[in-house]
Amino acid sequence: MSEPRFRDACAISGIGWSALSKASGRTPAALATEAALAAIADAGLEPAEIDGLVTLFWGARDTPAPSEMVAALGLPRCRLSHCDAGGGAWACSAVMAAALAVHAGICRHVLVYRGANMPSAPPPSADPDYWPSGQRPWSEPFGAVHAATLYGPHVAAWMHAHGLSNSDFADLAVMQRAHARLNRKAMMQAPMSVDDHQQSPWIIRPFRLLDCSIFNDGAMALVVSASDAARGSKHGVVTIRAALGGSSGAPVRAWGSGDYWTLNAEALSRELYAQAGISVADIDIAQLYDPFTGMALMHVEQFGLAAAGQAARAVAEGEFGLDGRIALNSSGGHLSEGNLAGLGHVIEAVQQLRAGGVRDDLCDGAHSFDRSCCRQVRSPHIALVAGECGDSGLILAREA
Amino acid sequence: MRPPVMDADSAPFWKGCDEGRLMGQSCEGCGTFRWPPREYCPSCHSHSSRWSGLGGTGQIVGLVVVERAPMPGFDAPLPLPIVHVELDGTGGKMVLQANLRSDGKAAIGDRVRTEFTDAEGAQRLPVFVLQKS
Ligand SMILES: [Zn+2]
Repeated sequence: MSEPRFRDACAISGIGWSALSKASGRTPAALATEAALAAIADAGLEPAEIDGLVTLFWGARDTPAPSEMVAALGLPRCRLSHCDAGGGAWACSAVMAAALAVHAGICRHVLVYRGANMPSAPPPSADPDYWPSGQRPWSEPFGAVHAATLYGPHVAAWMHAHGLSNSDFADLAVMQRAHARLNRKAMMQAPMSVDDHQQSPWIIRPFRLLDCSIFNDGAMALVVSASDAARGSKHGVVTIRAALGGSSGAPVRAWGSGDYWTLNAEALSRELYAQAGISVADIDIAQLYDPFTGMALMHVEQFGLAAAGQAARAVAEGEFGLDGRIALNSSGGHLSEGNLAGLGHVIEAVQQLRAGGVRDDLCDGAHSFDRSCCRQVRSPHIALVAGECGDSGLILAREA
Repeated sequence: MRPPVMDADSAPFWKGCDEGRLMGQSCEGCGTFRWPPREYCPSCHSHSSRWSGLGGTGQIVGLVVVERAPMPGFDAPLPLPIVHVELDGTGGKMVLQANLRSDGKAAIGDRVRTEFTDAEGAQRLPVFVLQKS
């Protein structure tokens, strides 16, 4: 458990992104540079003030390495170049790594970024030979390399235990699409009904097409600074109240230990809330990793936002809408906004907590809270952000 | 169907498959089954282990049905059920993930037994078959 002195010591001072698309026609380096320059400007900094870089390592053709970004941004000094290999849990973990370097006094402003052309130039992780040995080849057997074969069996076990079916996933997909339609950077803007969800083709059961994360080109970036350095910003200060990374070593905690659907989320969330000094009742918004509807619902339950087996019902009853008990995946998430492996979830939490709120909904000027144009949640103070399987998590807070 | 990734840790398992036997690795230090195969026991960190033949029966604890090729070059006939099977006699520690030879009517809790593919010149792979009750 980290010392409470880490609490609120660092802030996410800038955020930026490129357009998200199916075929950017640009290099990942160009996309990442665009997002990085936007995030740096948003933080009120000059590029030369960035002195640390953290990104995702997911194969050589994925995102530009820190050395490439030092060159692309013309950084005079870089004191941290760290690659997180945590897959869908990398983003929260990367923010933690950046904050630790700032908190230790080694770096002043650390850029966390990812730029990738996932559909137009897929990374080598799509090749099973890329995984040399260990657990992974056994998890996606005999060439069926896909996140749905990795996680689907655990989702199916959870569905079986609670008597759920694929139709129970529809309301979440529909809700996140409605959120995306209030988000100008979101990929998916067409309306979606429960019927659309149920008519969409099966991909890998228990998932239909509209249960799956979208797959896109694009880049996102953010800057982590000391909270003291961020004070005075027009955005107010969004602090990192608590952070955890790590890994459970498998989708479920360990094969052959207890049930077949308990992720690291249960254990991590208890520690994360204790580190932040909060309970679930304090959480206003939650941005939870959503590779598939069913996984997102498991995250909802295992982070304690709904009782076991009750997440789908709670979504259907509106508990997680923009005006619900906890606003969930308010950007549209991976299902409808776009997929930068969770960095978008962090950026959405920051936008919602900022003084001016989100800047890419359909409101002109002040937020109206009219859900035909506004996706800003009413004065949120505490955000939960969760990486895949609950292998990482952040509590972000709007400084009073 | 692509052959599995083979390495020094898993070689005895795949040799067993070629001989039509499902082999499991258990720890000589603490008796715990190791899965996936590995040199050191994650429970007691002993380096000693033994390989023995398993009965090959077990219970489905997780499943998916591949309806659309998950990646280019995937040539298995679709729909393809993939099941996670907790193998009998392994203390719940060996959950083998393999294709199910069936019409896709399997459910969690169903009992299965292990057979092996038999393609000319290719590594034989474990495949599960539903046990009729
Ligand atoms: Zn042992």
